Amino acid sequence: MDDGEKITSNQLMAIMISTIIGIGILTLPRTVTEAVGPDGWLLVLVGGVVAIITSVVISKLGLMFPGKTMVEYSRDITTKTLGIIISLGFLTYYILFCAFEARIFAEVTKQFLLDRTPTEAIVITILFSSSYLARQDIATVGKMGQMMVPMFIIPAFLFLLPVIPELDPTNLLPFMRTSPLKFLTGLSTVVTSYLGFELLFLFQPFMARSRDSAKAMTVALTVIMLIYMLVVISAVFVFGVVEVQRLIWPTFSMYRVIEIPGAFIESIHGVMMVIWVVVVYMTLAVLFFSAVTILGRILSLKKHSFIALPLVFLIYFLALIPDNIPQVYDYLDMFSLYLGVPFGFVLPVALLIIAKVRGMGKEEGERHEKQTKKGS
Amino acid sequence: MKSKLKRVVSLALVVGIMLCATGCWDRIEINERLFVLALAIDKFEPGRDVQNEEEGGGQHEEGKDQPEASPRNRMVVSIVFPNVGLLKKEGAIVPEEAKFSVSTVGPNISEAARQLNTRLNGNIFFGHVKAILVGEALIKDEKLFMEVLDELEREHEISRNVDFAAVKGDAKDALFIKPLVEPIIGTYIEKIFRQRKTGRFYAKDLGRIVTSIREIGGAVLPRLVVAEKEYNIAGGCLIKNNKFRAWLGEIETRAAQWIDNTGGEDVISIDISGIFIPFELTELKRRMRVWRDEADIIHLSIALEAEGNIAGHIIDVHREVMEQSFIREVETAVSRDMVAQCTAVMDKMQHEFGVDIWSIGEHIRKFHPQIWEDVKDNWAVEFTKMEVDISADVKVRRVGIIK
Repeated sequence: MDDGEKITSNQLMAIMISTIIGIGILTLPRTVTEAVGPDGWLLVLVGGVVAIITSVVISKLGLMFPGKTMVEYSRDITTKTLGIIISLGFLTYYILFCAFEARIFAEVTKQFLLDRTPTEAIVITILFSSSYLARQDIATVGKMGQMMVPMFIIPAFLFLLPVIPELDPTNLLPFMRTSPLKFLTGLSTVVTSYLGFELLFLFQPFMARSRDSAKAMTVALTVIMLIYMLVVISAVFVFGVVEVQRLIWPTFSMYRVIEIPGAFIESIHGVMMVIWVVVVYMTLAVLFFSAVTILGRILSLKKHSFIALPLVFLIYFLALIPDNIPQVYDYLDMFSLYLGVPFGFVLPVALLIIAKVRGMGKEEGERHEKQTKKGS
Repeated sequence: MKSKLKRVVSLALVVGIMLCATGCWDRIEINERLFVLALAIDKFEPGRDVQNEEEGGGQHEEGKDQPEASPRNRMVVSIVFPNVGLLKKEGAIVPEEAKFSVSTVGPNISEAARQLNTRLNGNIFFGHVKAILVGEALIKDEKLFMEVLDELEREHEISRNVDFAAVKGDAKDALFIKPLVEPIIGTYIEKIFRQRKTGRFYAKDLGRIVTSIREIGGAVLPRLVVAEKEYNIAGGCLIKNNKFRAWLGEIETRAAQWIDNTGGEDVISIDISGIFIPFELTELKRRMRVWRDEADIIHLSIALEAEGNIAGHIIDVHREVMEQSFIREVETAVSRDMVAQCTAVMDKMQHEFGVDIWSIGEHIRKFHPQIWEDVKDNWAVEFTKMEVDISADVKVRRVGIIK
């Protein structure tokens, strides 16, 4: 650990919640409904369970190699070359993730809020402001997360209240009429909305008590799962399964429909937009921080903060590659399927299996345990 | 010395960053916006009299260009916006009208709006649109109507829950009248929609209507009739196969809403020995049941449960309203009347028009997925073959304050 900074499990939870909830939540009601119709919320639930299981796997790996991030232990488990390739893969993955996050943020903001502001200006602004956080150390990121999470969770819940009388719960029927095969195919798309949890790879060694990581991850992912389910269920309640599939960003459209009776601000849509800026900012900052940290660790740098600025420009150009919204979403689908699923779900399990087969880590883990016991 | 230089440089940097990093392309002052409150869209028909008029402007130039028949002139788009200047206390020179209505001809709504921008002194803003009206001729033109619906739904400024109505005649006329009771037209329409003291029109919003048309190609729009100084929103406009099919009467629409469980309060008058007794409907519940018999015929049973008051009788009969036998008589008569009305409209929808305006298909999809699997591809026909049974259970609860 370079700087000796630590995060608590609460901070890890805050980081995870604010990272994982990002651009995906806007389209989630549509994607799950397209996949399995009215059973979408169930898909979200199952996807969440898969993410929790995988994060427990990652936490196990982290405990087998205490004090090491994925960059180091992937070298130990496989070979040095393969480890570097895996780490470079992760780096690419996070850089692309940042680019998508920034581009979709810009497109949505432009569509709903700033229709004359150039996309470039929106992208570069959010990138610069998040690079500022990415230059800091992990403890700062953790504190930032703790500050931000209540800022968006509370209003998101509150603003859904006025719509309750207009909800039509029968929109969730029929229950469980999707074929299991369709459900499984849908699962591969829904798990991508939990991507970001694999950052535990990177954050676990920074935890003051890394044994608690699995517990913290379970809590964080459960919270995310509940928020996702709330959004999916209310969007389906408001629009119905047919209408929801027509909307590109059903979550926003839902808040657009909600009117607070008699209030000064008739439509809370604008307020939600502002809150969402905070959400994306946190997601982007943490992903950015991860890319910077991984690169720093691959190059075995003492300090990583100076990498952040050059990366801004790389991400900026990547973000501007797609020509239009449909293309952005086409690329995003490809990205989550071919990079997200392998790196988030397949790789951790594979690494754990290889490590077990080679009988690694246990020794080190025990040694670590003894050390901590001695220490206390 | 050095620290002074440092201070100057950092100050210059701070100011420089503030100047460069802040800015806004989208800044529009609120008084530069024209808050469109209602939008009316008609089909452009060259032969007819389309004045390019501007109410309140009062300038009608001689020989002003009449829009001519051209492939680009497809629809007449009219907007109405309030005179925000009137809200200023004093001093400002503003016209006296409460609202301004303008109209133009164009190939689609977006371009028409830009054309209006060449004539108006502000930015047209659709974020506060309260009502959208479409003219009769437009609804009869399937292609144009579908284009208009798509454009309305796609525009992010227009909320999906904006009120939507079909106008008998030209929708444009609705924006150019001076209503007696509420000068601001969009708000006027919105208030009629919201009062819910009658079930004589379907209050459906843009989102619901578009969805319904997309799903079954049909829907019922509220019907708006323009008079000299007021509107009458009553009855409905039946859409079938993405275009106009028929006008529905007020009573029919009311019965249709009973079946739909969306009917509000209303009064049903029944003739009992020569007196038209008003029965105030205060509460209505509907239960819908669908089943399939051995012969594969789908049965639909609709049971209405109504509650209400007797609101009038005749002055020279004493005590009659207090008697159970009389109350039973009223209940039976109301129930018979409701069933007859509902059966009539159901029969019309099934056998004359063939439009499932109640989304019974959706009900089957939700509650009877097995039946739906068999009928979903052929629902339009299955709907007409359905056996329907309607019953009503009416309870008189109160009789007013005299015996």
